[in-house]
Amino acid sequence: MKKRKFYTAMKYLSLTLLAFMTAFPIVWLFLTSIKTERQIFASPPELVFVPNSASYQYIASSGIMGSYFVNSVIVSLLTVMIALAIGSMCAFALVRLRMPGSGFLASGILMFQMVPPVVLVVPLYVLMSRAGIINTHGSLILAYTASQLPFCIWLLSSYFASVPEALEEAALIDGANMFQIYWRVVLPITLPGLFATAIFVFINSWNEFLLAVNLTTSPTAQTMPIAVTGFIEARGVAWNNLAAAACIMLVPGLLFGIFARKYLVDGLTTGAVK
Amino acid sequence: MRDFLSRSQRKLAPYGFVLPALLILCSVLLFPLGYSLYMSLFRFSIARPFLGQTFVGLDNYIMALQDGPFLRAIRNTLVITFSSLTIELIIGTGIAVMLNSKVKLESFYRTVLFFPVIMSYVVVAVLWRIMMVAEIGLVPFLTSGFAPLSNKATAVLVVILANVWRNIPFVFTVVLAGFKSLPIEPLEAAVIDGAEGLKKFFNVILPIMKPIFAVVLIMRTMDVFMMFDLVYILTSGGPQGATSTVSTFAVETAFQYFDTGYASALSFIIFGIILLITVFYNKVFKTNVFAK
Repeated sequence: MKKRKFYTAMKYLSLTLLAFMTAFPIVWLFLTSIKTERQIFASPPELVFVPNSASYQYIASSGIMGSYFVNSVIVSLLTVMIALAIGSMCAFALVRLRMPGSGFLASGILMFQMVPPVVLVVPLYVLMSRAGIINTHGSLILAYTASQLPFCIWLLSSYFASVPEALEEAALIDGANMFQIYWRVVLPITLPGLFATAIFVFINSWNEFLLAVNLTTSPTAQTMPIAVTGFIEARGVAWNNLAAAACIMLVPGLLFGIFARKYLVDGLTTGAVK
Repeated sequence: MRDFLSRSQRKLAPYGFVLPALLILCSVLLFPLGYSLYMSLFRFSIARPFLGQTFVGLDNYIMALQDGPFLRAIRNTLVITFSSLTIELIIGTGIAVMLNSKVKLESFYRTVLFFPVIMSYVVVAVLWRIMMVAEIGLVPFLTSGFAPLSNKATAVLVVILANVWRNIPFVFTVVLAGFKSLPIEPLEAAVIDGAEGLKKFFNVILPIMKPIFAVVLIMRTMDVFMMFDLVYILTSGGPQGATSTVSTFAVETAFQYFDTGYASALSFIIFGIILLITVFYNKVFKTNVFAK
């Protein structure tokens, strides 16, 4: 009994400590974003201070929201739509339609998941420069769609595989063709899975840096991560603006993390556990 | 189910479904990969096309294996990968064990502890830079002026810390889902039993969990080994190359020195190491993680 009490106490102590260590740096980042330059450099650090929105006002008036932020939204949303459309069709065929070579195809697609991004960025830069599509939304959308398709197909396959085959057979008897079965039967039933996959692809595209920093060169196509790192300069960092830009980047993740954690957890674990 | 379909539909339709994905994968992944392999055999710079390309065979690869800074980057990457994984697995499994029992405020703990994994490495790097940097960092203040990012050994530790902080949620989420999917009594009993319980954990529970740990290990190893953003923004590989990783080194070679052919060769060496690690894991765990 004593042991149990001790264990329970230790458990809450460790969980609280870990939660604090997780939350503290994020809170500190936000506090930095609402400080003035003088407050940031104050030593000892000011814990109680009058919040200041100058950094957010600076970002609002700097054109970052109209270019980098909008670019991020466009690239991430289009990548989600294309990757889900193409990926779900492919996953449906691999799971449900018997065709010669589908096993080989499935493992081939999975192999692509092992390709490190750094192996792709060099040839994509060279080829896209030559094709004249460097520094466009399209270059990023293409690169993101391709690099996320393998994971997307993998995840969707395991969702589709859980649909009872009897449902599809019933639809067949009613005279539905393959596309109708895919569109009217399988997709509606696996909507939660599609949603989980969509959130994943969105967050990955929203967060991506390596391809973005090398495939785009001007604010016409550059995304939020580039705007954030742009505040780190050799001649001095505008710390409050840097922190504010980073906080703005956090917003979609924060919303998903609070309101759609179930789907995120589902996406993370589907590949590993099921 | 095939009897209801017309002959041609039955034969060709599946390929129609697969075709768009294959087109994208072949043109944006497979072809660039092949092209990069081809470039790795040349001395060639995208920034200076007038110099042309000279076929050098395997020279780029031989050069890489004698390139001190690259070998140091491999060593740094292995150190960061191994340390990060060990810490992530221990703390992540610990959290999973604790959350697997009855916890008040479970949803609060889960929401907070989960959060870092959805954050961009860009934001993670900025946040740890703000904590650690000499001018304004909280850590330099608390240690009366010690700046972890300007010291070789502690800069590596900061990279590991930031990486572990970002990825513990992944480990505990997957391991916890594994615990919940298993037909075993709550782990709490095992922990309370002390030494007996620990024995049980290692002898009974770990073996059942092996496939799940295998997947966690392999996904995390690949992710840390390829790590670029975090290091690039947090330390840019410094001080004096102490935190330079294989990815930052290859990207620098490609986009700062514009040594395109050499960078291609470097990236294929990285790819090769990752394949080797995968083969090693498959041997150790005797499961083919990618054939599920």
